[in-house]
Amino acid sequence: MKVSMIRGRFIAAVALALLTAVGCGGSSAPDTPAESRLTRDQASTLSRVLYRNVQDVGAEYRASVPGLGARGVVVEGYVNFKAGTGWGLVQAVQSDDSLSQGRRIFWTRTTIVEGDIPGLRAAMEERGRSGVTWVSRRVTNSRGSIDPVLRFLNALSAARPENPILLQQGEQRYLGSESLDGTSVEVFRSGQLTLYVDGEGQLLRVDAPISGLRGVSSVRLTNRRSRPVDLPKRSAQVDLADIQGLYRDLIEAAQAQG
Amino acid sequence: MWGRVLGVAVVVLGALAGCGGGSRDDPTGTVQTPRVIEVPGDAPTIQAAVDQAAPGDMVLIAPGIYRESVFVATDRIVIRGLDRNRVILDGELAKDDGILVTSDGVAVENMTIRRYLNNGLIFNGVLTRDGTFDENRPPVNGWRGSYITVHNNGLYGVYAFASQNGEFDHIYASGHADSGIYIGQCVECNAVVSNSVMDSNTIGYEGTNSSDDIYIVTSVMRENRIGITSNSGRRERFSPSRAVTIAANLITNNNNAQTPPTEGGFGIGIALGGSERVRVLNNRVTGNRAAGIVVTDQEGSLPSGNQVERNVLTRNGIDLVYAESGGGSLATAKNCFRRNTFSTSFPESIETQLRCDADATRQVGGRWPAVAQPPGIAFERVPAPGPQPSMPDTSTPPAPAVGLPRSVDLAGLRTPEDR
Repeated sequence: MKVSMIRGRFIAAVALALLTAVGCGGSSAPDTPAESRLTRDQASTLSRVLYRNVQDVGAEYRASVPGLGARGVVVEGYVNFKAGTGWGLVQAVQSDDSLSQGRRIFWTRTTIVEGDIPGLRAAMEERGRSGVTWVSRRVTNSRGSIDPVLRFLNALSAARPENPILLQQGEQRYLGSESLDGTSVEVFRSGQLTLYVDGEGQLLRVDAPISGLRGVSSVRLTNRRSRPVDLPKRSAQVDLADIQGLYRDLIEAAQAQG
Repeated sequence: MWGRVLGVAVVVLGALAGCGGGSRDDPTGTVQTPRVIEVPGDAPTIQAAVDQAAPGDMVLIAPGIYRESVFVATDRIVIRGLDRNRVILDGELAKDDGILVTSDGVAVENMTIRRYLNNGLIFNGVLTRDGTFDENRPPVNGWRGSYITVHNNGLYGVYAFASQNGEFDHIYASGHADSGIYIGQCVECNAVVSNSVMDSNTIGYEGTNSSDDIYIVTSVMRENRIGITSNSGRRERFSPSRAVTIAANLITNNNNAQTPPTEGGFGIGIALGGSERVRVLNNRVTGNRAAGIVVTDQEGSLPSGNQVERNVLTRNGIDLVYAESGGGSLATAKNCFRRNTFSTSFPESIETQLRCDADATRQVGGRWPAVAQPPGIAFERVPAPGPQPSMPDTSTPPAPAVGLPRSVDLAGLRTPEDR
């Protein structure tokens, strides 16, 4: 997408910031009888929801991502919306629907640090570096990686509210109210996103197709608070660019062992 | 006072603001004297006073901090503060808009509106008088905001949307995460922005999809990320922007990283994005790190018929730019530059390549060096401005926003001095 050198109009954080982040392209289903244009109050609620995430600093999350791996993955952890950082445990859904042991990750807006790679410590010691248990790399746009999921989590934030007029005038719709784990929520559609917002204006859940991944992913947000996200110390990290072949061999070996 | 601040005063001709609008409606046809409803003397809140007001009345507000959002659905009332700096509407970073007007002929003057999540003052022509969204209702007809300080609001300072026939004058807008002053989504807008200062916003003035007899004159846009933009976008109705005049403004040092960030440009004085028939005349454009005046495309709209004339440009990254936003080739139809005072341009010799007496459509290509966006700060954290001059006389009769805007005498406007 060409970036205007003046500015792309801010418009619809949900519709644009998120859709831009996930690459949904803004296509949407036509109105159904259950959908309605936003009232002024509903537009106000929706306009604030990503800004509210930043005001709350961060939240614990659980992301169900069916489009990653053979049967999908689940990522759980903490995202700091204000800083664009977070950590999580990435677990694959196995054939019996249980979750794998998983790998820990940390991320910033530009870097991902992966841990729990079997054999990494020993292999690095053979190369003369002891205590290395993490691999760091730049965030990429590569399909089939965890990266779009982390970018999506970071994109659930905005430094200011969206313009509610343009939400009312745009394709955003109100779908109704329902109960989410016993909490009453208002449900909104923005493009291909479905957002569940509680009476305090907090985003509790968002369902969305994430760019580069098949299916609809679902993210739940709980326990809003500010927590530090401390990346592993540099001496425990190795840059992926320095161990491309070794990294590939270790991952393949781990996958072969299930 | 403002003449000193701005260097040049707007010359206005024609009807004075408020002519014909100062009397109350009466079903018997008799004219009644406008009522003055004092806050907090006659009503405890501004909203309570507005709810009591009939057309022609004035709500007069005593100094104090008013923590409320005001919704106005009555025609031709005036909402006036007794002291611009001490009558303060405060949204406490929790409320949506300071004052939202859906009716015709309303004037708001002489107060400070700060810390709302959306807008300080908005005239909104897509909300009905009961607050329901209706994009097919007639536009707001007649609006005015005068001697208002707006700061640290989440979207716009003062905002006219789907509204016609109005003015913003003597506005001081700072710390907005979109623009300090905005006019959008209107045709036959008939609007004037004059004698105002836009400082430390993401954008000083912005007009999107706003057309016909819009004048942005005798104002200062300084220390924003972009000073002025008239642009066209697909997400609002009535694209493209057409027939806007930007004249006799001082547009300086729009390189302020301590402002709310945008995904767009930085260090630009004036940017015309996909606009048609915009005249940029007699402005002083100085110290903008990327470019002084840029004419480009935006969201599929091509610039056409724009004239950049008699401006004085100094110390900009490049003074004059005509380029496609992605660095490709851009067709030009009667976009022209002439009689500007400048040192650098893209393409080179721009006044020869894009002459005002040339008819042919031609291609101009290449990439000019834009400046990277610095991260910026949240809108809440931009420092508040100091005291600003109040309106000259708060005892004058109310002048609702009818017969506006006053006409602008372009011939009487001169390029402002550098300060």
